[in-house]
Amino acid sequence: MLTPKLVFVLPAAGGGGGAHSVVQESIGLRRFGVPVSIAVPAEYHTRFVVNYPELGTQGVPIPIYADAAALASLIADCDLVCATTNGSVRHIADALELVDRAARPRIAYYIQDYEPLFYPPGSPEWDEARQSYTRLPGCTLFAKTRWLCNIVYENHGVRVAKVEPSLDHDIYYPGLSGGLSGGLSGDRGGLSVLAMLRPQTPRRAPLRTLRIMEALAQRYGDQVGLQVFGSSDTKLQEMGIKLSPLIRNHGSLLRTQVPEVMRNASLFLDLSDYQAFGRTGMESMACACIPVVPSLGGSGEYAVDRVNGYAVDTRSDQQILEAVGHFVGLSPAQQGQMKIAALTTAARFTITRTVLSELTLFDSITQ
Amino acid sequence: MKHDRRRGSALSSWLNRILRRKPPPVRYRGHLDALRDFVADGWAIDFQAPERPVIVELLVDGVAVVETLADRPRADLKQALIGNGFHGFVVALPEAAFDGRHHAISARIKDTGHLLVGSWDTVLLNPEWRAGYDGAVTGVEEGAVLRGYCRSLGADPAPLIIDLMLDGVRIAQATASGAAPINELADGCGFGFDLAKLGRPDLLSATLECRIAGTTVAFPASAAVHRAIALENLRLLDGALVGTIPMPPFLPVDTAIDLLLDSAPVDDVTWTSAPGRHGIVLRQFRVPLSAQQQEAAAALSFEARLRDLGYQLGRPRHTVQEAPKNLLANALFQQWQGKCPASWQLTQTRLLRCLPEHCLLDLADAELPWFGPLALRLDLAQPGDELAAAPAPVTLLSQTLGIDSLPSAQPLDFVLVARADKPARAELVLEIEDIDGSRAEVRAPLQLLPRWSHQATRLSLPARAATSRSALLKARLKIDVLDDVGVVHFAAAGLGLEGFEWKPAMSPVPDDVADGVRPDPNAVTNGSFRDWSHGLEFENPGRRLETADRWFLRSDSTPAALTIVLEKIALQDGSRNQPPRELYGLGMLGESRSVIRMETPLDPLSLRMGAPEILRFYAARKPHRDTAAAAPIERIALIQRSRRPGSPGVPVASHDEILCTIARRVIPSQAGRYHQFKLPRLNIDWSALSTRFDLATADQGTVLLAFEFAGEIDCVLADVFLGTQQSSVAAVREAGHGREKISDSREAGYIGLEDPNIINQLDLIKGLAAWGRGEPITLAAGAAETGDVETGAAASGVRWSLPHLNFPSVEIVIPVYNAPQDVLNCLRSIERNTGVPHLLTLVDDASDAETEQQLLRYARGRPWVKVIRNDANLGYTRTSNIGLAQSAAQWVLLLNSDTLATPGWLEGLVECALSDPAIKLVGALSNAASWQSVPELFDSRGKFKINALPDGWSADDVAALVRRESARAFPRVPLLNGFCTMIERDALERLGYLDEIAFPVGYGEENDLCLRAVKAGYQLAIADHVYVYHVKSASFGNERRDLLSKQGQEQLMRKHPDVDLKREQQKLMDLPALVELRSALVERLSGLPMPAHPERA
Repeated sequence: MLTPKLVFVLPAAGGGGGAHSVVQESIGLRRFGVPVSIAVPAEYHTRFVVNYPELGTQGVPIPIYADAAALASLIADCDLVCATTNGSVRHIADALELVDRAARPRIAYYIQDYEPLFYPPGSPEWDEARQSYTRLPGCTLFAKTRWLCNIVYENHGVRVAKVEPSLDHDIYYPGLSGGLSGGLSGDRGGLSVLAMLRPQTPRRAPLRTLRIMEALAQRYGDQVGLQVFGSSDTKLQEMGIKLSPLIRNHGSLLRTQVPEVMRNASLFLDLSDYQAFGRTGMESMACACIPVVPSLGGSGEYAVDRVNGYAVDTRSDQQILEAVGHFVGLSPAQQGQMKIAALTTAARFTITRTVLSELTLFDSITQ
Repeated sequence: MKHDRRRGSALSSWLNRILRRKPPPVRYRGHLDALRDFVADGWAIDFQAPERPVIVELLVDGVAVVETLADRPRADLKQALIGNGFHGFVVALPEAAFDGRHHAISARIKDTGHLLVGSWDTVLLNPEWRAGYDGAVTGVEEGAVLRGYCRSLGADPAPLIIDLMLDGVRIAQATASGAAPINELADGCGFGFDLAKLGRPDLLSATLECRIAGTTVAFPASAAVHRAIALENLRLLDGALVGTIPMPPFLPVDTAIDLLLDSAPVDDVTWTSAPGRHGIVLRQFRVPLSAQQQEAAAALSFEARLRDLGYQLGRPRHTVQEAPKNLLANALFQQWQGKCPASWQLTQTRLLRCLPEHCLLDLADAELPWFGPLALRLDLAQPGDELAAAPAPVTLLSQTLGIDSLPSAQPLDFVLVARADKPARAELVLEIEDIDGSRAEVRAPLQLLPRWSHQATRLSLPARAATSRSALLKARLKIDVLDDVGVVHFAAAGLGLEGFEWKPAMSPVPDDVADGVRPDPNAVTNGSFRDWSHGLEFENPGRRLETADRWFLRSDSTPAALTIVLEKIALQDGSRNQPPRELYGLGMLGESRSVIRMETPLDPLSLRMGAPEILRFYAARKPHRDTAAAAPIERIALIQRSRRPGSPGVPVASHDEILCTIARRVIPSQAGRYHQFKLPRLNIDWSALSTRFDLATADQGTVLLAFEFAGEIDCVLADVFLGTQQSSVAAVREAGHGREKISDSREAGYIGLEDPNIINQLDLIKGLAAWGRGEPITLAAGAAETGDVETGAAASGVRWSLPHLNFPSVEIVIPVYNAPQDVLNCLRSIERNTGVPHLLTLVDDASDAETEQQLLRYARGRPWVKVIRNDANLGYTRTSNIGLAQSAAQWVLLLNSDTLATPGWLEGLVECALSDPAIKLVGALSNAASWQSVPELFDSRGKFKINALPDGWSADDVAALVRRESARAFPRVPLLNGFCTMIERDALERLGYLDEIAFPVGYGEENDLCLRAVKAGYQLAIADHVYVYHVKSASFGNERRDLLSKQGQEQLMRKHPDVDLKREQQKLMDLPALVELRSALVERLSGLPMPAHPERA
């Protein structure tokens, strides 16, 4: 298998699932001997380096670029340059113009989400996001879920190859406090529900999340421990959101702190309008915490309703509450069974498998 | 509601002075704080020269008797940022004043006439035993030194000996020969005792005196000691009560101190210690207060006691508050506990009902704070029929306050905002109780008017006895009404020092307010379209009309033809087993050349709850309409309308101003869905807008929501909501109390997506249509294993196409006979639009030299292109067979030379081919390919239509449109048009190629092949997302073509007598996928100008 000289272009400070994927998989590729680097533009570079110190220790360089010319010289001697967001597509397109034909690397686009859905239709950002899938000539697109492959093909007529999703088992595991000892053998006593709250991102449905948490508080009273994370108290105040006193806010957590919180919860609610993949749902499975994920989108890749989690139509509050009610009504043995199923599903996804699938793809591109 | 606009009147200027937060800038300021033990102290400052201490004169009965320099340090002044803090003074009253009669004591800044605030009207007793001596104990200084002065008024200059007496027993002695503690006295009469050295902890509990040795003359000293450990710097900080108690060195440091809040001991106290000067230990405490306590902080009473000695600490001499607060708690009636306002007591006599109500105060002067939104409404019982001689005053409201250390002379301002149904007299009563039990009462008259009014009055507290050890005051404020009023409303009440602070905040309505008071979160009053008092149907409505209640139709010119009608819509709930939700909507159908507007005034009460953030509404086209393009909603905007007063005789004109445009060109879809838009943040004071709301005329100063239409109008609007996003969260809070099932409440059913960006693109992104519909989307069981995901797409009938990287080998075979330009166009289109590997074989059927040359030139430098030349013209079918037979590819594509390929055409054909192993022949759509023509099948004459490209459109554009609209059904067909056919090589072998004998020149040979394939059990499919343009037969003219075609048909029927061609062709005509696609394309392309030239033959 060839090891192409590969650079990911990632104009982000980090913190989101997409950036995590690229970082995780870059480290994995490095271990396979692939000379991979992640190019980050100047305005994000410092924060990015701070957010991912592991890149330094694992030997993944993070070259910085300030403009198209700088990026052009970076990619000129690479075999493969990979875009990661619609913004990076623009950067790469500008940079390619400055690289002469003979030296041009192969291009790929690692699609993390269907980005036109982020913007108001008809806005310039929306147009740019839509065009990003066909803007780079000869670009090979790849994504983690069939849903993403399908929706891009459906709307833009370009084929998208599928690679495996990855999960970092070094961080996400059930641990001593979590699932196996507690849930499988007996009821730990008390249900605790954890939800992610991102008030600035409407597609993550913060109001729906709050509504459901309020409804759970009213329905279950103090039988239930309600927790949220993802946003600090001051941020919530700024957005005019007042949390009921029954809900505990863990604030904004680092990537490595989230699994600890998940281990101590029985249910994790991801009530987004849709998920292209829904990484946090899978991560909670790996922590033996049963996820409730939206059926709209690509979560079917790993979630099987009422077997290893709940896949509900999040447009309907009733369905969400029924799912929670179903779990509460299960006996401890049944809950334990679900947790085992969840852990088994999570075990399918590893960084190694992802890297292998990506390398196979890169092989076919660069040959 | 009228209001009083008398600006500049004395009343409103005085009110302004009262209600402004900071005192107006003055030059001189000072207070006479206390008169204790023959010593008066206070402070004074000249703001224009703060570094220069002023001279203060003490006046007895208006006559200056003694003067002093105001330069002593005062901690409270420093904290209040008055000068540098060194503006205090201490002065001793002259002996002559002590004559046992009433005197008025006051103070003045010398040579300015500025009287210090505070005066005393008291009796100064001169005890017999003092005759001939002058002295006083001035205080404890330097931590533990008790200082004073004493001199003989007679001629004897010898310094006096002073004994310190504790409960009559001498404990120390000193000589009055030191520096005088008061600077205007000559030195040599001051004395001091170091109390710390005495080691007597009972100094506080016993009576301390300084007695001139050998006489009975004694000056009381206890007060001075008590002042040394007063409670200092008591204030509210970060939600807690903090203060300092300086422990002088003559007290044991670990003396326990108990704190009492509202007479209850405080458990949760944090103590810290800090060293002060002169050995004083500053004990600092912090008592956290609950939110409720913080609100009522002014009314809390606070005490500190030395536990073992039972001694209550005095309050400091702080008279300065940098921002005097409103001493009344819950002054704006915003906090409620159940049915009563918090912190106020209501007497039950004659009180029928107490309610919170909305306060629609209309205040002319914008400087005055805005009160709202709640006021207190008291319904009082009517008096009986018996004649009352004089009505007894009835206390309506009262509140108990603790007033922080006010010297008696400071005036308080009181303000009341109230209204009553009938004019009535009222009275304000302030009952004051000193800690030592003395009581006093202050009254002031008030007027209650039948309209909202401000009342302000100034209260002077009575002079208090000079011997009060502590200034802690308890007071009770009562508002009594003297006449019968029926119903009284109170909006706000305030009491405080001059310039005290109001908090005219607009707080949101608290959660525990009684039902029925909270305004609707929806600013659109009739957003549900349930109220139609003026009729249910309006035809040709004219220029201005109210249709559904509060929905007005406005247009500049009469709309051409417009019908407005009540519509009922059934929305299928997303949740299981729920009946469909019914909505009422406003349906509009018609057309108008000019812009017409459907507008509704917004509810000002609701707007005051919070600036509106989202607009959500349901829009659909009217049902049962045939699909013609309808005009969108041109614009949705917020408009502010105000009236301009007209001159007499001229009608009042209204003036509209667009506040913001919420959305443009919103297209209602056939099926109907919700639209949601975020409002831009507007720089508008929503409270100010709504204050101009005049109930009398609805058009005055209103904000309206307007939907604008023009042209063809076909729209149903329903469930219009304009409000804040929080209302959806609040709805759940109020919906369920206890364990009721949420499904019983209104919010239980289908709610929908949250992100408006996604909602608004559901029409535009393929594959998401299911997200906009009511049926729940579930994942099929076992989806994760089989990889079959998102049955949402399947629900919409869309076939997903899975990508594959292994592309089969394809050879394109093009028979050529002259027409080199067409051929080259075709070849160029193939080269441009085919991104996958393929072979290209051109079979030249003995064309002319020019064509031959062109073909050879094209093939040069393109190794995948080869040219086969027939020596003689063998005819189309034979030529095709030559090309087909020599191919070694897995699939061969027989293509006419007068076609144009479009982007992705070959991939699409292969995709269709590989979708099912049973498919052996694949065709494509075209503009002119008999049953495979799009967008229209037949022309006006009933013949197969040759669809021309719309003006400005290329074949690529139409191909893209087809790709977008196609359902990718890959319909199975019995016959395929031969202009572009892809055949599996092996199947072709087995079928035996084209029948050259029966169909030598084409026209029927492909149908024959197809029928044979069907009989062999193979499947034929149309790649209905691929569009290949057919320039249409340059080989033969129209008539010749018809003839050949007819001949071909006859041959076909002869060869296949068992086939009912008509029926097969009927199947082709009825293919559902193509029927749908054609209608979608027609809709998309209609309205586009078609080229002027006649159809090409």
